[in-house]
Amino acid sequence: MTTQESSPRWHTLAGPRPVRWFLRSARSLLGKKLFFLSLLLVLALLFLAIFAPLVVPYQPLKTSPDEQFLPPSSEHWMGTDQFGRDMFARLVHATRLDLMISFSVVGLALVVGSLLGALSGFIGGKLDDVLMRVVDILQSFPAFILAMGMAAVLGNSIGNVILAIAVAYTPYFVRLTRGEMLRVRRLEYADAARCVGVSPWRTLYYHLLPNSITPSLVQAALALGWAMLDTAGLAFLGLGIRPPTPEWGVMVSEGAKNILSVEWWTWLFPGLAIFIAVFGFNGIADTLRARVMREE
Amino acid sequence: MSLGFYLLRRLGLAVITLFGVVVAVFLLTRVLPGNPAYVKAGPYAKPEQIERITAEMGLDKPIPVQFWNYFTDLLHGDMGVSWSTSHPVREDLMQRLPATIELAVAAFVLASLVGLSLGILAAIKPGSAIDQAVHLLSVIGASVALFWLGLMLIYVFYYKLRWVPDPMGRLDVLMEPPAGPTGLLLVDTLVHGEFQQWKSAVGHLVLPTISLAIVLTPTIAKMARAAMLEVLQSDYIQTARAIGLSTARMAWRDALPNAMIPILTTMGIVLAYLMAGNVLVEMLFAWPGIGFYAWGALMSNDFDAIQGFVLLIGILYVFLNLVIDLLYGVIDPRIRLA
Repeated sequence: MTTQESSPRWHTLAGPRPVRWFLRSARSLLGKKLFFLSLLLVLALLFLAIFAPLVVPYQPLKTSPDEQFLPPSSEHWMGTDQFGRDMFARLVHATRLDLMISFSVVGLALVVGSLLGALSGFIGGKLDDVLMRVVDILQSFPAFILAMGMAAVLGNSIGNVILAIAVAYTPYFVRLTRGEMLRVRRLEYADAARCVGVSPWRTLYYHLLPNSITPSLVQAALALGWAMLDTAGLAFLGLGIRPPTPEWGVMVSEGAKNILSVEWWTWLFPGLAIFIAVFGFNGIADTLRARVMREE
Repeated sequence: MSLGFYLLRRLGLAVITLFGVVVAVFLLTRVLPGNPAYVKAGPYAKPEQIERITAEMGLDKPIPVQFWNYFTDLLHGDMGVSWSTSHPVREDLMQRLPATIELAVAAFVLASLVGLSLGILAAIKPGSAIDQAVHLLSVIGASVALFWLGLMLIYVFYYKLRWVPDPMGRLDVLMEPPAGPTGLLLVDTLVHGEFQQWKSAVGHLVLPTISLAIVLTPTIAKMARAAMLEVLQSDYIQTARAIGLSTARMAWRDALPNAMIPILTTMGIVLAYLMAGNVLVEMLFAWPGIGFYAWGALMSNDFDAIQGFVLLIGILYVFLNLVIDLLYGVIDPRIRLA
């Protein structure tokens, strides 16, 4: 890593810097073992989620009463569950669903949170006061408990789980982006833009927003992992996604009923899938954060 | 600014936040699209029944009136009645709180001991094998689903090895829990001199505590490492090093007290994990605390109970964060000026 590369020069006047910064960092991070491993795991899961459901010969919901609790074999790679359903087929379909949910949650929270935070920091005044009070109140609950309460009230559906967890996460992104916005709007290039007559909205959108979003992007990688754990946690409690839908948390909770017998594969594999996915996102977030902190 | 004034100001802010918490819990159940009366009446209710329940719950009144009723009830300590236990929700929660506190404190203490030790070890030699191992362990610990971890522990230590008793509840089924005085079994059994029961209580506490602690440890280790690194690089530690103090003495006696402030400020995150994890662990181990109660309430659409639980967690969380704030205001005089 050369010194030229490591000095951030985002406050020039063009282009969505964070994207380029992200790619540049990713390239120099590839040497790092943890980052590489994490990236590999996430890519493998994405691959599995996209293609595996197309080639797995079993249906995730197809029950076969005479094939209950078969141990893992070449026929059923991860065995079968109490209804004779193929665990591997359920697992890969669940991968698709869980990835979809956590990307939706984080996408929603990131976009809404960052925009609100940027506006709040940029405009200030009454809007800022009101918004920050709302954020304060939402953050006076642990996120999982807030999501739990909302999921309970909204009722069980995939859309409601996404909504409940996204609302619980949005305050983090509001705060992060607002903090950055308060910092960057006082920098020289913001004055420069104003002096040459760039309109405030244009300044906000093209210059300030791209420069205040980096912490939120790092947080987003972390939040992808949280979203998986929280979705699965809610499902384990019986909230949000319900059996027989193939979802990791649902699968662990169905398998947990057989905990005191030999059928360990019914709960081990879906939990392992959660672990691999969350580890992947955490590893990426961890390395990115270390990098951002070093640059600052 | 004097310490007294600082404490007063923080208290005032906490009262405002508490009011916000009450408003949020109220809005959660009254304004969100789901209609509590529908939920309460169940899926097969006739329109007249729903109408009657709506009137009973006061849901036909304007929102501000509803809020006023809810708020004044709360001030009188009335959180509604749970229909699955048919007790007042407040009594239910207060009766179960000691079990939760016992588990939460045990997990918090264990996680703090392990987390601080690991963080300090990692910070003493940054970049060393120990540091990297701690780093990897903390990423792993932060990636495990708590309920799955609990299942694995049950499988290995109960089902396979039989090292721990039946992972259900706080005592063996046949034992009569001692009556009072604290509700904390580890204390109560000793007070009554029931050594056999004390052993059973410890046995039941081990697995849920370890499950929760494993999930809390990475965060504490990470915070401790960062805080210690910063302190270890400061001038007075360099001096201590130059004088020739031992590394252990320097870390524990000189560096740690100074690193405690940044560690304390981020303890709120650990508390949030603790409270969220608590629900999952209590459900998994049938631990008769407020988390298990909340889970039962969720399963039976016991509306007042769910609302009461979320409110209690909000209040506890605000209160504990206040304690953290006050603590570091006391520890570090500079904070009071801010």
